[in-house]
Amino acid sequence: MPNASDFPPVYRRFLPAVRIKCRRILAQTEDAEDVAHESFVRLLQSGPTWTSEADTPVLMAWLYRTCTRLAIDTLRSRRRTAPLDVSDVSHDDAASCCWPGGIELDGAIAARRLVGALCGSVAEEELESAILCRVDGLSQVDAGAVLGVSERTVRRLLDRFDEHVASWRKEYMS
Amino acid sequence: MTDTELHPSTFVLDVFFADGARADAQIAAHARGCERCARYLEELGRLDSVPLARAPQAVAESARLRKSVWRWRATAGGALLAAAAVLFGIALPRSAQTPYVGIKGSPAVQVWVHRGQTALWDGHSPIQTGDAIALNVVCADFSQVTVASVETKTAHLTRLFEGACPAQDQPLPFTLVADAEPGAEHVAVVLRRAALDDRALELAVRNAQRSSDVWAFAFTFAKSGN
Repeated sequence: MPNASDFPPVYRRFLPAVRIKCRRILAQTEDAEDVAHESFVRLLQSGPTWTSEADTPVLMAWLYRTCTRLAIDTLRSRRRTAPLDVSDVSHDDAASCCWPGGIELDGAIAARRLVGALCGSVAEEELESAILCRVDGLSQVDAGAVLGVSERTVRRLLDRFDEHVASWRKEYMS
Repeated sequence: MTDTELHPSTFVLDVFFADGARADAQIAAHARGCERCARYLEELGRLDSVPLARAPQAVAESARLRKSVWRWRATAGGALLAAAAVLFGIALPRSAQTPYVGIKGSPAVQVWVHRGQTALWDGHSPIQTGDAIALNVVCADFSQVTVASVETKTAHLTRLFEGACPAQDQPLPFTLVADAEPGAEHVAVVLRRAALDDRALELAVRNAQRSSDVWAFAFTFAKSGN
């Protein structure tokens, strides 16, 4: 099997971050690897170029945005092909490696579960904000920078997502 | 959920790692004293040494293949076909023009297939390797057109053509030539007023968007013998 080192060296440095982020969202390693792979295909096809360390945040933001969107596609595809499963991988040792300090694991995993449950009925922008802020643990300012929108917009999207969650819970419980 | 004053975010740690985990002394110092942040960075390091499940060479290869799903020509042959398409557009009996999509004043696309002779595509007949396909678009109020191939499994689009809408009844200035790859070919034609980034284009095609800003058509060409 060819090695990740076969990637162009300047991009290889970004691969671990994308792989771990995809795992945070999708939990299943195989799907996560597929999305990471596809994100890099797109990076090499049409992503920004890296010429110096000043470009790293820009390229990382592009990858965050791209792999979040691709992961949402995967979640939606799962929902079409499999019945709703609101269970999730518990925060075992392997899963906990995907989150650094300062992020409450139970909250992040619960947010991931909600994104998976609602991905078929909630607008993509709301899901993106929920993933970046609630699963990845970014601040609303950082999520706005990644998505290219204002902090206020992120807050509005999260509010809307929360409204959908409330409706879904009400329906799910009844 | 996050205590950003005490811990760097995932994004900041990812950037820190991508820059060689040395560029920011403050983050390095934090990681030395924070078990979970250190563990996260260790996991990034571990993933750096673990092969990706799919062949990285396939990245370049799949990119290359996607671009070659349709070979497109803007050659003299293409121009000849385009001219023929226009000619047929005039010469074909009205009954043969039923696949024309749309009504007067609405956006529309005609597909012409050249295999020995040029004929209006009926919307379902399989194409064959080597068939050349030309597109006539009626842009109505739209000014720009994008033609893209669609990979259905990943919903990935590869832009084949982008440009201004041609004058009425003029075909787009290229032809698509079906290759020998197995499987149906999916092509999207998107009329638009302004540029669309990859995601906006993807969503327009997926949702078959038809609004005052974007008008998307999708065509699936089955291949005979598949």
